[in-house]
Amino acid sequence: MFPKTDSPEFAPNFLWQIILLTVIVLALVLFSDKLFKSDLSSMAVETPRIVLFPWVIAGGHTIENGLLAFSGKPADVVNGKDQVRALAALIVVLVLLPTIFFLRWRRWKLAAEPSIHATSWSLSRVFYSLCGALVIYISVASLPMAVFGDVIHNRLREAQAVQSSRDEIINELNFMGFDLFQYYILPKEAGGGNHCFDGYALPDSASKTAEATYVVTPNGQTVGIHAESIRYPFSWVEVKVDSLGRLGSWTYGGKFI
Amino acid sequence: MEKESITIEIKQEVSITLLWIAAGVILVSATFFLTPQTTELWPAINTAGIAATLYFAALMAYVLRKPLAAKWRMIFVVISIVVIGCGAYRWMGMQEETHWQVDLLMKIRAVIGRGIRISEMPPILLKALDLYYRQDTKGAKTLAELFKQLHPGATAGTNIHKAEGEWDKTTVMVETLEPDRIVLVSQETFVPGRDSSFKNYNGQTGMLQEKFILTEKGLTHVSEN
Repeated sequence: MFPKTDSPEFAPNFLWQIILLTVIVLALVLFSDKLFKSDLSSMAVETPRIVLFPWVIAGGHTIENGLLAFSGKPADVVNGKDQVRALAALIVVLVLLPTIFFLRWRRWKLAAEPSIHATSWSLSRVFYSLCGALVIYISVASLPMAVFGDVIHNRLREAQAVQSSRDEIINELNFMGFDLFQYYILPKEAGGGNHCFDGYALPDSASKTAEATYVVTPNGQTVGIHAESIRYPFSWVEVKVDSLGRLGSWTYGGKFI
Repeated sequence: MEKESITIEIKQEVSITLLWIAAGVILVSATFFLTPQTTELWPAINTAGIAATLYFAALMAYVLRKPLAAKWRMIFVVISIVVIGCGAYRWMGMQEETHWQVDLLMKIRAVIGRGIRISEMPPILLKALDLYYRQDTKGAKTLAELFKQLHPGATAGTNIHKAEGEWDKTTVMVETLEPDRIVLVSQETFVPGRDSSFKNYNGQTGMLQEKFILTEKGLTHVSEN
């Protein structure tokens, strides 16, 4: 015969087992950087220590590999620290918390004994409430995360598209700068300006590209180029080319500022 | 006797909870570690995530079974679908987003690589062209001679790029050095170009490569890859 507990909630042994398991998982998450210290030196992207969402850890690792590739280094295999953190997050969020919360909730809903609805704050009640609060927090957070994540993602793409268009226009202006300098160098009999920019005309293929329309204004020893974006109306880039072929006085308008 | 039966009932609940947790931990951990390990965490957490979702579905079926009222079943099924759906959407979104960012990083690296070459190579050649047309007697010195004057020791196959430090691995190779034609070629060693099967100057394949050709008529640019 077993001695009966005072509370008909969790048995004391079970409670300690669960608390111990939770403490171990949390300790692994919190101190995994010390357990896997050698891996820390190579970390380029630092994700928060406690992460409830495993995709944050996986995303951080992908970005870290991207940064390595950016500098010509081979991608790292997933280190033990990240594996433990991701697995711990998965287990806590999708196994531990819902299991304790929902099984306890079912018992609470079906309980016939009035004592199970007691208002006294026992250790097990605090633990159960903590699990419940986390389950509710994760559930409530999931909707705004999905919506705002999408909004942020779209804004990032839009900002990057503007930046890419601007870069492409700058690239085309650089080529025009060389073409202008070449015109400046070449004698008139070779189709050049004989040390003058006057008479320079953009080839048709260069005056209108997929990114912008270009207007060149030669003025003796300098030339002004105005690029009007096609993708982003009222956005533009202006630059001046000197007699040494140097591009300067860059100015930007509209979305390119 | 009644007291004893209550104690056994509590222990059954405890055992059931522990059993569920143990089954969940084993299922998720096993799928996580059985997934072939790569340089990415995504395959492991995706399969473990699917296993965890299946576990969660089984748990909900167990928790919401009769005699629990049908309204609770309905409420929790709807909430679970919304929460799991939103979570999965963000999960997939994050995976797509991080890969997009990594692709973007390499595109930025390619833009930088091309930019460096486009800003460095033409001035080298245009300087020679400028000297060529500044000669008192046209053709007194060929383009190649003037180029060698600017870059002593340059021959076909030499690197004329002056490294700005140990980190600077850029090369600008003289591919052709003929009296009336000079060809410079420069490539990246780890940044992919447009065509993955393109044969690079140094024997690699698929890397970004730019070429500039100088003749008496001027400069021609060939973005090879």
